[in-house]
Amino acid sequence: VSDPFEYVDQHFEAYVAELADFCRLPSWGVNPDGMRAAADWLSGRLARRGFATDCIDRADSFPLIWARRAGASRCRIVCFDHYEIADHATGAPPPELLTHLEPGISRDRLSCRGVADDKGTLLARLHAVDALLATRGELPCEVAFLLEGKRQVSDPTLPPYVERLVKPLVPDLILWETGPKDERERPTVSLGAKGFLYTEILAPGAAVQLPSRLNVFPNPAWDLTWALGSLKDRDERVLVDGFYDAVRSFTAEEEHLLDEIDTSDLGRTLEQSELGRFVLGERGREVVHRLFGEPSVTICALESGDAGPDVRVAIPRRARAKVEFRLVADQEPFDILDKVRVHFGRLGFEDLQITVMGHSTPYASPVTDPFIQAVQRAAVRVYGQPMVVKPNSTGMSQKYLFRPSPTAGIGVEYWGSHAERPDEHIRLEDYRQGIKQVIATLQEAAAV
Amino acid sequence: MNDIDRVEAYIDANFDRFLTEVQELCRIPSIGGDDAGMAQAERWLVDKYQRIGMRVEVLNVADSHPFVLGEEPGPPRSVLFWNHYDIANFTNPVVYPENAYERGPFSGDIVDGKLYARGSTDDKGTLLARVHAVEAWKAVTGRSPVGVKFLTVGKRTVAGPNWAQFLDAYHPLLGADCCIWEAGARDEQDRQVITLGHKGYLYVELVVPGTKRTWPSRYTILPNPAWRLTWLLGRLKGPDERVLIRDFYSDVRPLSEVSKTLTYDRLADDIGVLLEEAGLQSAILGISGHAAQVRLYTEPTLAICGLQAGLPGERMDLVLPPEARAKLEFRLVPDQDPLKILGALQSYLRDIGFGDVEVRVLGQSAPYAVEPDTWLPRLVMRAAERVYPEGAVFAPMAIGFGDRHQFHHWLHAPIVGFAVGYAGYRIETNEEHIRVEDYRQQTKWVAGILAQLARSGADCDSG
Repeated sequence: VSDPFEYVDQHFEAYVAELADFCRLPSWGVNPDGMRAAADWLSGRLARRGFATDCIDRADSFPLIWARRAGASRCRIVCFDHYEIADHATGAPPPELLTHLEPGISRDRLSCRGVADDKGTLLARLHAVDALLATRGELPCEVAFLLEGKRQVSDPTLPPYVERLVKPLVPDLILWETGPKDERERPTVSLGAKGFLYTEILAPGAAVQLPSRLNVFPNPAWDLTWALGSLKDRDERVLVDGFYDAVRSFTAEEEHLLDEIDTSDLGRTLEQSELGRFVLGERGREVVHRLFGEPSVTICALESGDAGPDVRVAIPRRARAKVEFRLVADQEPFDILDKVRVHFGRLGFEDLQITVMGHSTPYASPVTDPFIQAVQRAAVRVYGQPMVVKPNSTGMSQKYLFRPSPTAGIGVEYWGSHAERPDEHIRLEDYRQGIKQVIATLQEAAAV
Repeated sequence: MNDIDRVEAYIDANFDRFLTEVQELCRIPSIGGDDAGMAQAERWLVDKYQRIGMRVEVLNVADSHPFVLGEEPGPPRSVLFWNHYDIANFTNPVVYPENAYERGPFSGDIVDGKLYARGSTDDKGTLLARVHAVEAWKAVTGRSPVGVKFLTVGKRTVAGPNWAQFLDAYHPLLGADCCIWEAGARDEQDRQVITLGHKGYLYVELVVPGTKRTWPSRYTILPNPAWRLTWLLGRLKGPDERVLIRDFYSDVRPLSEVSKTLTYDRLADDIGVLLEEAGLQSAILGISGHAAQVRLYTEPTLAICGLQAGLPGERMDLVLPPEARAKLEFRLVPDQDPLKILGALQSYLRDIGFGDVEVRVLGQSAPYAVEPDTWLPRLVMRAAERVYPEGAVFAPMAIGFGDRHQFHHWLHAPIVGFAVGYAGYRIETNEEHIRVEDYRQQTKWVAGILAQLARSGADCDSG
């Protein structure tokens, strides 16, 4: 067999079996043994496929795997995935799954925690390489795997490794994790990620508890309220001077892409939120634009004084808010922080104490990038249609670390994969197509 | 030697015993809500009132500890003393120290002429000075110069029981020509203060509804109740401290010239001391001194007492809060009506697009003030001049809220207030104390007030 697609079809059962083996490893962040086993397993599988493989132990995280294999062209592609089972939304795994995971394979699906996020997508890339090597004896371009074992959503230990290992390669394309088929069964690719700056804003008050009858004394809850009110008005526009300066607005072409995005999940969101409306009563296209294209500021928590059910006649000792600025390219979190400080200072709220609790830089790859176009050509070959392009995604990721390489988020999951839920699964046909998509992407990229 | 001289001599002669009794009552941990401690204090009072020959009735009051009513009949007229025997545990809850050498909340110790205990000034000392004044009169002349009623209240919560209900049931027992309340300590210049009223309040919780469950914060398209609360609060009051609710100020009683001369012009400036204790640089709007003091008495205000939305604590939670709440206190001055303010708030919220916000009333009481140039304030002031060489001053009102308005409404009698306290009394802490010499003077003052009441003519009957 010389056609890698055909090879995939012939060896598909073995690939699914290997994926099941990988899924069986209980690589939860709270199970270091499971994490180590998964890292060793992956290193072995990569080495067996001729990759120069480094399993790098890290002090404050789990091993980082870096594996490289040269290719027939000067094109270089890096696959970024993670081998820990995501549990960010759900917290620690149920005890019975902590050390033993048993994938369920039925006629059309493979079910297991971790298979949709991100073990399926990871192994599809390995199997694409496998099929290319088996049929052609070489890879069309240089391929590297950077495989994360994260402790938290954004891994603070990753940046120096990206600098040292990935940047010198000057990759032409980063294949990022995640890219589900939408509810209209169309494959999707996301090109960016929002960033964020998560702060605690604290208004200090008196050194002692003051009764509220002393109402000529400053009240930190008012200070905080007024300060927050100065950040954003009821029209949802952020009022911090210069907040929008660095925003790279969608091009006409990107705006056009928004029209293609499936919004049936938004209808469900509206229903489940039981509010009956989005902000400003927006609908359809406006909602999609706000979700993907608009930076924003959100109050995640407010805390001051007494929260109990009774009358407490006291001036709060302090008032705190957790405030999240969600950013789009090319806003920089610490630039936004400076601007917020200047804003508060100008309005006389200089006593507020701002603490940064988390941050991530937004990033968006240009849809016009030739290697993104290569991904699209590959999709036409595999799916018979180009992918639906999300110029951005609403969540954060560390895509920005790889700037200026374009990132394409593609995957083997679909809209109903239920990542992080007990019935997390992928469909086997999606897995087959996912492998072929990677094969075709490598081939198309090599031809750019 | 006339009667009042003999009564004062009796007070001096029995002063150590009086103090021992103050210590006894102060050592009882009568914390509102603590049935055991409150019952112990109640028994102590019943016993004390009986021992000085008063008729005692224990009134069982819904949602409250029993009230102790002590009564001494006597023409030609009568006075109702309003006090409480709980230790006002509402702002700073009682804390027992970890170390034995630190002062506990109920020590009752007398050190350097100061008697220490939570509740010593508010309100046990203030109460017993009145009881001892009556006791002195009875010991010296065999009777009190006027009829006396002691209503001794045991609160469970800061708001107390449903006063309208209580007064509806008991006002026939409480009838009197005037009423002496319990607020008014010595001021920063150590002048005894007579409070002519107190503020009112309306305490509400606002609940801004949001999504029924918690959504990830990446859903920037979902309405966020914490923002709506923030915007709403900003529409209630801005940094200029002016309450923006329509008609909020319309019922504020204008300051009369007489009132200004008799009260505001004589106010001491104790804001500086309070600021220092609180570790604060300045009062709101940068005001200080007399201006701050006048504002403290005259301005109705709106305070945020609590804010809550989302998950508290140090975690970075990327979520939208499903609900946001604020606890708000409107502190009112005469003649604002809390229920009218509530109505104004509700219609204002509707007008500015927040009609879906739930307004829960957690407490309310109306303000009250008697004008200084009327008979009771004049009489009490006259009595003060005998005891306090430096004189007393009127404060337009106590800045705390109270229930004088309700009592005035049911009893149709004027009300003034004062207490055994001074600017350094550290109220509601373990260091709360009274100065024993203040206690002596106040006991004599009350004795003098009783004498004045017996003597005074038609003006006190004119209401």
